[in-house]
Amino acid sequence: MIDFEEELKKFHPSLEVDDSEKAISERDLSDMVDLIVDTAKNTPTRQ
Amino acid sequence: MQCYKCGVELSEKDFCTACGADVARYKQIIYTSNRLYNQGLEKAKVRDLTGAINDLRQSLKFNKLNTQARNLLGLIYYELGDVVDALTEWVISKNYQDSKNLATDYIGMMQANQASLEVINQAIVKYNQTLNYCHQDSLDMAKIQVKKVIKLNPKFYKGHLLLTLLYLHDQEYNKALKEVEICRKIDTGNLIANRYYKEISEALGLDDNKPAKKVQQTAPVDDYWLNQGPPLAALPEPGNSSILSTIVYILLGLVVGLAIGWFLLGPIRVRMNKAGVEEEMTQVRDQLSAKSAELEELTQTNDSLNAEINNLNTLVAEYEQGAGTNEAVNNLMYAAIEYSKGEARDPMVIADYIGKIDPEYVMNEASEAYVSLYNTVKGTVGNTVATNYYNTGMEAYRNADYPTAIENLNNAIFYDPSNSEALYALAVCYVENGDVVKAKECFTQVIALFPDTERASKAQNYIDSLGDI
Repeated sequence: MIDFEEELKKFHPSLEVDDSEKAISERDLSDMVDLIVDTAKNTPTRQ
Repeated sequence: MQCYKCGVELSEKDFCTACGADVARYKQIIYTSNRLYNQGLEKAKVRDLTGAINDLRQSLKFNKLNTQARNLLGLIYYELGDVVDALTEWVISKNYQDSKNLATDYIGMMQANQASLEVINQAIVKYNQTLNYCHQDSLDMAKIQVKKVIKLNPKFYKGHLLLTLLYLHDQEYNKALKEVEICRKIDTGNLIANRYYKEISEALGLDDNKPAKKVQQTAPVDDYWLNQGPPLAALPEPGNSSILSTIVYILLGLVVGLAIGWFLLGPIRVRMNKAGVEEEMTQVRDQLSAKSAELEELTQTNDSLNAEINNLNTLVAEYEQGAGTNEAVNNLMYAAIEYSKGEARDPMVIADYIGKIDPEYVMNEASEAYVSLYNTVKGTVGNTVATNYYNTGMEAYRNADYPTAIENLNNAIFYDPSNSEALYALAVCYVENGDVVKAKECFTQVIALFPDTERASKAQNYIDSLGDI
């Protein structure tokens, strides 16, 4: 049985076009490669 | 694949041959990202957009520089109607890779079609309003609004899904089925849509094997009365009327229209005419008032001009008087100048200037200083001048030139009133000249000024002889 209120919680407002600039600037763009790079800084290179 | 440290192309080794960096894990991350991208691509091809989104997001979590994954993710968002999310991914993609990037073309297409973008944005705004209505429990308003959303952007997935939910809430399963099928067509992998579909299928008894049976659903209020109430009486259909009756109807309509126009517009027309006449009257009255004001102004101007003329005349009179005064002053000044020459002065010149001054002015109008100067100048040269005038007058008397004698003897007396001989001679000249009145005056003066003298007796004899002339 569908619970309307519970289902409604799954619907979130969509971003408007004017909000796109803010969305881009607040986006977290870190990835696994960044972690590797940070880790590698403390690791000596093998010659 | 390039080394994350030095950027050199990597070999099959687990370390960078240029800088020696350990690239084993780095390679794994890149491979995983690519694998996830491939999975996402496969899912997108079969319209499992939700699954594709999940895989592509994971791919980017491993490697944010996976341009293809990001571009495909943007494309899927665009397909679902989330234009802002799509633009976000494409902008970030272009930022990481400016050249040879499909995102540049996608962004260009969006920018080229501003009108379409505006419509999509309106749909998003209305969708957000719909959610607000839902939270405020205004479900009817929400339903109306979300329908508008779908009308603006038929591919707005969330709009269809929300409408499905609203129909489900109202147990409008058939309508809900229609919407959920649209959702499943767009995105086959959406779990929410699939769950709604299952619910609807159960409610409607939909089965692959069995034919669908219509559910005795509780119709909403508007449908109930349509099904339960008495049928609406059909409107009578117009019969086949003849052309003649049509023309009659048209003519009748014209007559009625004209009558209405006459009765309604006639008074209006009369009012308008009346208003026109009144307006004209008002204009005439205004003009008359203006003329009256102008006339009054001109009258006032005339009065002021007349007053000014009077003032000017007064000034002229004063000026003329002043001119007379100035002349007397000038003559006295000239006499004084001649007098100031001392021994070189010519008494006759002085006498000449003094003679031009009106004695009336000296007696009545001249200032004290003027009179003093006048008397001084006159007194200084008086004796000499008097003698000269007397001699000249007597000479003229002896020559019987009475007018000349009279003039000079008058001057002599003027400068020397005590000269009885001159006064007496003047009187005799007046007698000889035929001016008896003047002669009597002079004889009378002789008697008055020089009484008990021989000349007084002679004067009296003359007066007696002249009689009452």
